[in-house]
Amino acid sequence: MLGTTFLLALRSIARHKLRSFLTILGIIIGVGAVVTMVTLGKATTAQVQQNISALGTNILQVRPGQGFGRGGGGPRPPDFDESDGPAIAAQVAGVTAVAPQAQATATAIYEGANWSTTVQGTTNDAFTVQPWPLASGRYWNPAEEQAGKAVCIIGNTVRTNLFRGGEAVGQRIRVGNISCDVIGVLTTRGQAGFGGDQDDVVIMPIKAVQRRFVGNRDVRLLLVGTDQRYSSAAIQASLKDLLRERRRLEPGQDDNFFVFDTKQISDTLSSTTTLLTRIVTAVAGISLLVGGIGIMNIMLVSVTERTREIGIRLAIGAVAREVLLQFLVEAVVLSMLGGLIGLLVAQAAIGALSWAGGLPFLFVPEINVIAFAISAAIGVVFGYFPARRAAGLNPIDALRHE
Amino acid sequence: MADPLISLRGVTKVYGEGATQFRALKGIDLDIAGGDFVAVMGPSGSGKSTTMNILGCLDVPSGGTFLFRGHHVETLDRDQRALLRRRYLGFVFQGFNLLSRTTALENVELPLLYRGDEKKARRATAMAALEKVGLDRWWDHTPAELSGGQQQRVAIARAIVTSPDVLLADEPTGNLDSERSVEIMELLTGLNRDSGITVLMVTHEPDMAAFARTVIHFKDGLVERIEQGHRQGEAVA
Repeated sequence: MLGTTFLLALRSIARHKLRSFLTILGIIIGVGAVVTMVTLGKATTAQVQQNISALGTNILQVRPGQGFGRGGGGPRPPDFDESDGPAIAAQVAGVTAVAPQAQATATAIYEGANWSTTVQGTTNDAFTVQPWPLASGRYWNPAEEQAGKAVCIIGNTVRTNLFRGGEAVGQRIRVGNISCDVIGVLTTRGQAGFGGDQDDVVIMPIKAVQRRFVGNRDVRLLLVGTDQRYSSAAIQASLKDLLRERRRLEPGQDDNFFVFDTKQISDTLSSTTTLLTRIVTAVAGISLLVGGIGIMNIMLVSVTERTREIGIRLAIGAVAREVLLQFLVEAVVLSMLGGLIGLLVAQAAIGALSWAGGLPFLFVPEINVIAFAISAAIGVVFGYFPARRAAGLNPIDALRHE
Repeated sequence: MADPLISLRGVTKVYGEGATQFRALKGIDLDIAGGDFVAVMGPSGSGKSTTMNILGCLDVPSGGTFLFRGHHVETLDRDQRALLRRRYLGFVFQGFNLLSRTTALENVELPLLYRGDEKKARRATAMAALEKVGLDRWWDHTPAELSGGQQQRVAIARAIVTSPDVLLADEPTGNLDSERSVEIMELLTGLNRDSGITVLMVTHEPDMAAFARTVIHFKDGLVERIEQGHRQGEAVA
């Protein structure tokens, strides 16, 4: 019986193609918008997460100054002392390791090839705090680190530009005006979240960079690895207390350094995108509701218009349940058709918008299933009232209806 | 004599309540034998349509009893009566009442759909019914593409496709010219004679009633008189 009813519904929809299409337009737009918004929201969140996690999780970055792009006036706050890092590692609970960082710009030369790049000085702890596996070669050993030996680990961009396809480990390159042995090549990391090629780098023991490039023993950045069992706020508080003391700040004086918590930023950005996605999805959901009302409206018109047909069916021997089912199935088939078209429209929209916005193309199965199920449910909910009205008609009156 | 197919006893029908109350039927006693061809006549408001609605199980009497094949119909609910119509009754209306934008075959198939026939059987049975009314070659035409007489024949095919016991026809020739009317009457007479189907027909045209074997005259909500054993083709008094 349901198969037959289904057939009748399809026949009836096919008889009024334009009207059927206009009826389900609301559902198409609603389903399309909801699926598009949720999928794009997920893609954005994923992208943000990826960018942030490129900076490393459970890491605090400590820099001199008052924050990015601030502290324009007044004297430049002093860099950190080389003893600050070990002090933090030793005295702040929950800190696993501290990697100091010094930085300079220099040209790297190998045989005929020149490449201007960033020279980063750090300690082996940097690779523990912010893991970065090697593609080949090795990290430097404690003796080399202690001595500030001219050994370097190069990023993939530098490798490509200096060595083309050739072997880099074991070669000697010139960086600035020193020559150093390449002991390792890093795996590719790609673009950083906020621009810049992370692979365009030469990393050396910090003492070598301080001595040969910067010319002092100051530290521009401290990468602090934290144990995730400790609260980040507590670590930050005691870290700030320690640094204020070491930098001899009076009570009431502002910090002349700032702590940047990548996890906190990541969480904030994620929750912001999630909230935005929810709001936009809710708005899109309203159009689904409007679509449902559209279906109810057309079904009511249809019942009135087809009163005589209903009378004929009842006279022929249709029971009330069959008439109800016919109109209900018609509404559900209509709305599911709308849902299906909406899903197709959504995939096209997601494709176009992802491409335009530089986002990865995502297919989120759950939201497609949910949106389709909702479109079917809308058919049931908004189709029931008109269907019940049709089933309740008196056959004699219905047959007399003009 | 065998039990009648249809038996009404003291059937009344009252519409409305209080001051606006209208007694459409004031106590009808009627027996109709299986295989009969009955014409129901009477002026409008005489109760003939109300009686036909009750006989067609579309409506229930306010009082009295209605036995169909020995079963009480007045106690059945809406859906039970619908199933009774599906199984035993066929309807032909003055206005044809075919589904528009639907082919003749699909129209005739409709009762079989509700009966739950398989597609193949449905097709075959519906085509056979169309053949009986001489329209098998027009099966894929919609009502708009058929003449009035052809539409009424499709409607008759739809009414007989389930091989019902009773065919109820409400002024079946009311919208047709006299030539088409005679064709339709001959078709109904033939079905009655060959298939043994009981025909109940409302008409106000004596020419049409002349095709019946029994003619029942209604007046003021009562049966005025019954002409029985009427020779078909003879003029109706």
